[in-house]
Parts: sequence; C-alpha cells; structure tokens
Amino acid sequence: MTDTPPIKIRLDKLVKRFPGQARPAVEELSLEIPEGEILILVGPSGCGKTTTMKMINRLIEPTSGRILLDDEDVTHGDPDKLRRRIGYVIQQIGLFPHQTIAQNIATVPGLLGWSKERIAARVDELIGLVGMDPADYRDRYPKQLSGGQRQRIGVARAMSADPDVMLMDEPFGAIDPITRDRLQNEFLRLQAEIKKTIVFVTHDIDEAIKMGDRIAILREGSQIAQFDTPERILVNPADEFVSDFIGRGASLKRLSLSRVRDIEPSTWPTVTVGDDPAVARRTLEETDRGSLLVLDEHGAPRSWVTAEHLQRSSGIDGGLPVATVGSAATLSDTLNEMLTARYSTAVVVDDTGRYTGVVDIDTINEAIRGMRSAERERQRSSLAKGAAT
Amino acid sequence: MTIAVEQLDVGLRRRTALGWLVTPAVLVAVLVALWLIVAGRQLDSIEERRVNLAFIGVAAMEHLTLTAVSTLLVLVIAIPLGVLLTRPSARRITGPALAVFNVGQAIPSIGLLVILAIVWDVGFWPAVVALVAYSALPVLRNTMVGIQQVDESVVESGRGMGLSRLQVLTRIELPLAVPVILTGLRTALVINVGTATIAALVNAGGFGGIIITGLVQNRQLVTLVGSVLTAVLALAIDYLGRVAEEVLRPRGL
Amino acid sequence: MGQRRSRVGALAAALCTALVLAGCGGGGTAGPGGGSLAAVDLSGATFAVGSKEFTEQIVLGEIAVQALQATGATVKPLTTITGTTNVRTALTSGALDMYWEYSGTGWSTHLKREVKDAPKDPVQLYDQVKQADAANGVAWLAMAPLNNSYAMGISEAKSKELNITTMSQYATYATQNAGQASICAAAEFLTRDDGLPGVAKTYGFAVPPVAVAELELSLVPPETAKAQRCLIGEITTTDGAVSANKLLVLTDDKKAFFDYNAAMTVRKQVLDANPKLADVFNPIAAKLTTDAVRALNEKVDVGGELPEDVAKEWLQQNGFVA
Repeated sequence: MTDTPPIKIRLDKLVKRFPGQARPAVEELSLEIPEGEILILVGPSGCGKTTTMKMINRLIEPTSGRILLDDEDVTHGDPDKLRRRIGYVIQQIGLFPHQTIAQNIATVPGLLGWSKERIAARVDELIGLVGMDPADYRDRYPKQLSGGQRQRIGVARAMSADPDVMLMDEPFGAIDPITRDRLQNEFLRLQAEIKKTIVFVTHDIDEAIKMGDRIAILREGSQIAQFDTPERILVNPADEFVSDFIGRGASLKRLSLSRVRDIEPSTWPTVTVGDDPAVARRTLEETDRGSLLVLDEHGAPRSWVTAEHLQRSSGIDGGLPVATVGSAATLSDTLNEMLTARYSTAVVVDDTGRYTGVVDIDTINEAIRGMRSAERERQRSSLAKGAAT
Repeated sequence: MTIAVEQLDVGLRRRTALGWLVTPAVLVAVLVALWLIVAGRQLDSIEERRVNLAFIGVAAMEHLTLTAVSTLLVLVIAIPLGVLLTRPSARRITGPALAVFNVGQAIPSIGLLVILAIVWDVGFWPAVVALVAYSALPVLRNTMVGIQQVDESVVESGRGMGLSRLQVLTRIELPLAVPVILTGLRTALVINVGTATIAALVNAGGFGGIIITGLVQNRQLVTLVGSVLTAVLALAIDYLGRVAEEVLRPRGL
Repeated sequence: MGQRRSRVGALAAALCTALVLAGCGGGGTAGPGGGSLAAVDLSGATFAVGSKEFTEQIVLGEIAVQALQATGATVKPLTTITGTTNVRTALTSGALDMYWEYSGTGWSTHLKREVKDAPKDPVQLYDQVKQADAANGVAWLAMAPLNNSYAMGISEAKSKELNITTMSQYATYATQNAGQASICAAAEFLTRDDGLPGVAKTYGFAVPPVAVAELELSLVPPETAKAQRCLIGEITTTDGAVSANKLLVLTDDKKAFFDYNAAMTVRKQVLDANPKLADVFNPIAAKLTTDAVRALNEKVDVGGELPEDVAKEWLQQNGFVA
C-alpha cells in the first residue's frame, strides 16, 4: 500500500481459544497497524474485536501467535511492564473511586518512578489538555464528576505516562449522544496534536467512520472482512457483509467525511446593501437565478431578495434569511443546512463571516461524482501496478 | 449472614457531630439508671456476692479481654484467608473452607466448650477457641464479599494500566473492601460480647458469672445487672466499631 | 386316727394363716397387680412431679413418677428445672404438686434461717423444718436416711501425696499454701450462704478469688480429678461422679455442711385431697439410704444406664412394683 507510515503494532497469526468453546474467539488474525493513526476495530457483537484488542496489552493471553510492538516481540515477558507502555481506556472508565483525580492520573507515572514535581506538572497538564481546570478538579473525587468529565479524565489518565500506543474499548459508549459528539470532536482535535497510535474498538459504524484513519471490519472469529480507509470502504464495500454492516446511506455517510473546503463551491450573483435598487433589478434580470444574495458593508451575507422584494421596497433590505456554513463544515452538515433553508442553498463564509461561495445540490452531486471517479482511477492504477510486477 | 454495606450520599460525612453523641449518652444514662436501681435496694448475702463493684470490675475486664483477644484472632485468621479465597487459584478449596467455618458457627458454643473441656482444658484459651469458631464466619464472608463487590471495571482498568495483581489487591481491592470488612469485624465483635457470657462456665470469668448466678439462685436483680451490663458493653463496642468504620472509610466512597 | 387328722389340720391351718399373714404384711408379696404399691389406690388423680437438674434428683423423680403410676394415678413429669429456688417456686405457685427436697435446703434456702442456728441432729433439723414449712403450705412426708450433703472431694492421688483426708487438714494446707489450695465449684455453691462462704468461715481459711475456678456443674468432678486447676472440688455425698472420677470425700469433721436428708415435699392442698400419698412415699423413703442412692447414681453416671430403668429396677428389687 502506498502512503502508509511505519508499522507500530504488528499482530502475527493471533489465535485465542477459550476453554470449552467450539470455535476460537480469534482465528488466526494478522494485522499491521501504522504509527500515528487511529485504527478502528468494528464489527457485530461477539465478533472478537475486544478480545483482539485485549491481546495487544495481554490482558488476554493469546493461545498462539505473536504481538510485535515497534518490531519487538512482546508476546512473552512481563505483561505488567508492557501495559505501562500502553494507555488503556474502557467504556466504564474505571476511575479509582477512593483516590482523587490527581492520584488517579499519577498512577502510572508513579509506577515508572517519576519525580513528584514531574508528576504534579504532568497531572495539571493533562487535566488542562482534556478541557478542565486543574486547580478546580485536581483534588476532587470521581463521584463528584459528571459522566462526561469522568470520560475525559479516563482519557487523561491513559495518557499520563505519554505512551505511544493507546487502546480504547468503546470509550464513548456510555454517555449521551450530545456529549459523545463533543468528546469525539475534542479527541480528534487532540489526536491531531499528539499523533498517537490508537486501537479503537466500537460497534458503531458511524463512530468508526468519523474517528478512524483506518477501519478493520471484523466478522465472527475476528476475521477481517475489509481493512481500509473509511472513504474507500464506503465507496467500495468488499462484500455483502460489509455493505450490510455499513447499512443504508453509505453515500450520506461518505458526505460526512468531506468538508466544504475539500470541494469547489459555486458562485451566486450578489448585491450590497447600499446599492441602487434599479441596478439590482437589472442584475437580477440578467441572471438565470430567481434571487440575489444581499451582502452587508463587510461582505457578510444578509438575505436573499427576489424581484418582488426589489419592486416593493425603496432600498435593498428585507428578504429571506440565509443559511451559512464555515469552510470546515462537513458536507453532510451542509446538506442538512440546505434542506432546512429556502432555496436549498447554503452560503459559504470564511473565518470573518464574509461570503466566499455557495453550496447547492448541484455542487454536492459534483462532489460525489468526483469521489467515485477518483476511486475508479485509483483501482485501475493499482491493478495496473499489480499486473506490472 | 447479612452484610451491611452503607452508601454515602455525595456529602463526605454521614452524621453531624451531634448525631455521634446520642449513643454514648444513652448508654451512660442506662448505666446510671442501673446504678440507681441497685443502690436503692438492700442486697441480700447472695446478691451481694456478685453485685458489687469489685466483682463487676473484674468481670468487665475479663469480658473485654475475651472479646478483644478472640476478635483479634478472628481478624488474623479470617481476613487473610478471606482474601486468599477470592484469588482465582483458590477456587477449588473455597467450598471446603467455607464448610469448615460454617460448622464452627453451627455447633452450639456451649457444646463446643464442654468438648474442649474434656479433651483439652478449661479456662481462657478454650473459651477463646469457642468464640473464634463462632464468630469467624461473618468476618470471612464479609472479607470475600467486600473484595468481590469491588467494581470489576475499576479492577480491569487497574490491571490494564500495568498494576500487578498484588498492586491491584493492595491499592484498589483492599481499600475499597475496607468498609464491608470492617462491618464484618464489628459484627464479630458484638457476637463475641454476647457469646462470651458462657465463658463463666469454664472459669474464664466475664459477665456470664453474674447472669448465671441470678438465674440459678432466682435473684432477678442479679440477672438484670448481668444482662444490662452485657448489653451495654455490646452496644458500646458496636458504637466504637461504627466510629472506626467512619474514620477508616476511604474518602471518595 | 381322729387325733392325727386334727393335728395335721391344725398344722395346715397354722401354715395357711402364716402364709396369708405374710402376704398381707407391708412390703410383702403380690396382690393381683403385683407390688405393694398396687394395694394403694390413687386412680383418677393427676399429679405434677418435679425434680432438680442433677442425676439423683432425676432418679428420685423417676421413682416418684413410676410409684404413682403403679397406684393408677396419672402423672405429669416436669423433671428438669434448674435451680433449687426455681423448683420450689414452681411448687408453691402450683405449677408442681410435689418434688423431693432436702432438709438442709429447706432450712437455709426456703426458710432463710442461719446455718449456724441449725440443729446438728438430723432428725431434729427435719422436724423443725417440717413444722415451720407447714405455714408455707408445704407438707413434708417421712424423712429418708439418705443424706445428700455438700462435701468437698479430692483426687485420690493428691490425697495421698499431701496427706489430706479431712476438711481440717485441707484448711491447714490452705492457710500455709495460699495460692495452691484452689477450689473448683459451680455458681450456686459459690454464692450460697451454706456453700463455700459458710465452709470457709467454719474452717477458718480464705481462698483468694484467683484460686477459685468457677465451672459448669458437670465439669467440676473431672477437673478435680485432673488436679491441675484445683485441689478440691464441690461434690455431693451421693454423687455418682465421685467414684467415676476416683475422688475421695473429705471428712467434714467440724460439720460445716449440715444435713440434707431427702423427703418428699407436697403442696398441702394436694396432700389433704390425697392422704394416701403418705402410704406411697413413706415406705419408699425408708428404703432410700445414702449408700443405696449413691449406687443408683453410679449406675446412671458411670454405667450409662437410663434413669427410668434404674428407678424401675430399684422399685422392683424392693418389691414396690412387680
């Protein structure tokens, strides 16, 4: 594969058979996890994704096979030492209720022998990193925190010794959708800074698409149905199992992966507030659109005006409200705005709020067509490469 | 055997300082009332032999010593054993071990005392053995339950971050099990205060001597004094146990 | 010829009369039901018979129960209540109709008189108790020779070793070896005026509390035999455990323990309604000697026989029942 970073974790023919089970939970899984990426293990309940993840830090010992971390075989040797190099977050978080937040976070650095000052500094740094005030929360006990706050501290605790690798087992599964959305976004922002290698287990395909750099869709026995980037999986599911798992609306899901800045917005005829209405009317006649976009003195969109509005009023004001999106907005959010706005058109604005273009249904269609043809092009070229070698 | 696990609300202390004074005040009032009743009566020669401060004082010391020593032994035997039995490697011996302790509690203490008197000896140590046999089971069970009721996800996250099994036991499981274990110990203490009344049958002294005399000689006052003293002692120890539980409960629970 | 016939006839008549007379005598041979008690008729009456908790009382209680049953009466046995005072209270309150009591116990415990004022003669003691107790509504039937007094026992080995066979010798030893002359006893003996406190006063010795081992009653004889925790122990003269544990009874040379002759005590109303009760128990009492009763106790405590069997055997052997 092109464009992959060095391999951080290699799973080599991992097998896990539990006593008394007819079929192994993990049937000879081999996987390469690139450094600095979020790898999602996703699949239906019971497919073995959590078992696989737990074998990486040997909370579950493999029946056979090898685990290599930075090309070092860690399958045997002291598992406790291994785990101190790997961050671990679980759905129920498991903060130690009898210890303060600071003591919780200080656990692994303490085990590694850090000095008190270094630990204290790190504790404050991490609490701040997950968006909370260290002075306020350092000495609190877990039961004094809300669910979302506990989740953040759970992540902070997992990062306390600055591990290169983190394992996360449905970390956002137990909280409400609004908080979950916010935490996911914050986590992605964090990962953009710290670039850790993360193995993330979820059963939710939407979360997988949103969070993952690469996704491994697993079926029973932890067998890989497809292992690829989210975009490619959505556009080209490997088989019926994968497309069933993605569910309907793959195209819509695909839209959530692109942002406004990734595509070419269209333009729309504009007038400014202070303009002469007569000039505006002539501009409107010359276009084939039914309305004009009114901008204020700073160039920020104010309203849509039709011929009726221009005839009635003496100046250019009033009109229909606009829906705006920033350049970082996903296409699916943009589609949402369009559907709720009049004229099914969303106005794109920059960081200062100035008009830069519009997105309408044609723009969206163009974008999707572009993704498909790019994917076909890629497949053709990789086939050609394969034929050549 | 019931296990009392008390839940805190978000505040960190359950009772106000004033609330903690109620029980001692009541106990002192009961003792004063008892003293007034006894002082107001002319005791006959039989009553006088047992209901006098010297005898009561000695009996109290003996009773306390019996209770303290037997509870200490139970602590040393049952708590480590309870911890051991929660380890996965102990799965096979858990059943037989619990059966032994069950038998110890099922045998009537008096019967056990007489058997010990015949095959071994009378006196302080056989009485202690009978007391230990009777009160060990609640401590053992509470220790096991205390550790088992620790939230699995807390243990898992501890193991997952690299704490060894021993570290998980000492840093997480035991501290979180302390409230339940202490409740078991308090139960054992109170049981021992009551059971120690039979120690008088084997020359180990205690308040039992007063109660038995009152019963056998049909002197109600003597029986009353012995029973009330035993009850007050039991309640006082229960109270001290609760104070200890409160003080030793980990913050944040 | 005529003379010979009349001599044989007279001899035969004399023999027959003698036989008949012998058959009609007290304690003699069979009527139709068998046993001399069959001759007493108390059928239709119901009696509640009690006893205290130790072996002798249980055996005596059984004797009383079976004796009354032989007369045709219905009997409700209440044979184990602990504590002299409790049994007595049951009698005076009406829960019990009768039980075997001891003269000494009547004097000190029930009549609350001073031990030092008691007559030294057993018959005098009994008479005074019987007279005084009538005022309490309790009637005492005939006294038995059986004298079950408190005594102190010592293991045979220790007795030989220290040359102690009397209470005075023990008192001397106790005064000279303060901590070593330890005593095993149960709560009742230790708190009764005529128990250890009275004995200590009479013989002039003092035992420090640490040298007193308070035990459950049944544990005293074995512990005394072991001779580790105590030198002497509380026993009673008819106790089967005495021979079972090879204990020697110390002679009460200064008569600290006064007499405890057994007699059946009956609530006065019951006796007035059934005067024949005297015919039942007086003959029985006459046969109850100290040695006889100790032998009965031994059978139960040492031989492991059941009290009811022992009682039945004794009644049969003495011709009371068939």
